[in-house]
Amino acid sequence: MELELNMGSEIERDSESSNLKKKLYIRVLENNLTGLRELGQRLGPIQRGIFRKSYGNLLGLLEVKVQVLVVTALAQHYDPPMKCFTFLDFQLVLTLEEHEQILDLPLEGRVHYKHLEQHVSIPTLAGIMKAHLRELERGVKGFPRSIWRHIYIN
Amino acid sequence: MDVIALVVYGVLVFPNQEDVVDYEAIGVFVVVTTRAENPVSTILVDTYATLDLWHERRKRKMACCLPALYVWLVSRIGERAVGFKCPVELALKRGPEPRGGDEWKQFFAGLNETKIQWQPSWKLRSCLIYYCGKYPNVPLMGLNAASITTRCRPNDNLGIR
Repeated sequence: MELELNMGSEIERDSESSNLKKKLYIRVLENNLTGLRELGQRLGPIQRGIFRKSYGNLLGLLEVKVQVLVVTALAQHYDPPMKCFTFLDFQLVLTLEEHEQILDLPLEGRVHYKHLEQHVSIPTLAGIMKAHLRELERGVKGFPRSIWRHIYIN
Repeated sequence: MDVIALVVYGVLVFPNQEDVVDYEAIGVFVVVTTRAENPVSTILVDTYATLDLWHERRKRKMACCLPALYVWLVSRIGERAVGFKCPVELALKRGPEPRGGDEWKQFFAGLNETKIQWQPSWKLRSCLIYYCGKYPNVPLMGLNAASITTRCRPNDNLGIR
């Protein structure tokens, strides 16, 4: 079955935020994820289960509609030297343990990702993407996000 | 299914470039898939690095895994929700009502320790890493080969009690 998805363009929202001490402006990139969301929803429960086991709860996160203004307001409270969010009488820290649960990728028994300065070979990538080798050989920095228009679900 | 995961990596988890799933996202994805490594720390550091860059005004865009940050926030600022084992499910079902930018600013300005959820129902672990060896920091490696330190003083309230 070929999917015909409505692709919207990406929206950039400008939102202004300020506080007493400093005035900062923030621009949060908000992708229009509708197309990808629809694609995720077309996966059956078993497929979703398999997906979650391999990649964590990415499909769940995909469905979360982020209110950009909340994040913007939160970012104003970020304290760079302390690496935490400072509020009136307390501080909050983003922790590894919480992220582990949010992403549903248990750390136990697994090695942390280590960034290596090596590029993925084109054939490896083509293997994951099931062919399209010629497309990838153009030596581009990546591929268009609209690639999911070409995804087929059996 | 792998392709969907790859695109989600490029669009949602590591949205470094605007229109493309870039090579960094692809690189992480391939390593995570083939060598079974865990990308959680990288995603977390990416969020910190984005916040840092944004505060230094070197980057005006917040290009990191925003949904994860948002889910974390929602479970903290919302009312106590019992029975949710999954934080994402909690954010989907009990997300905050939409408000304007100024309203949120006022909300955060008036937020004190009695109004925050210290122990959301989904939290499994009661212990956490807050120092590394003799150092009161946790060094973590990020995506752009930048080393960043999550600095927490043990006496601070780290969101647990």
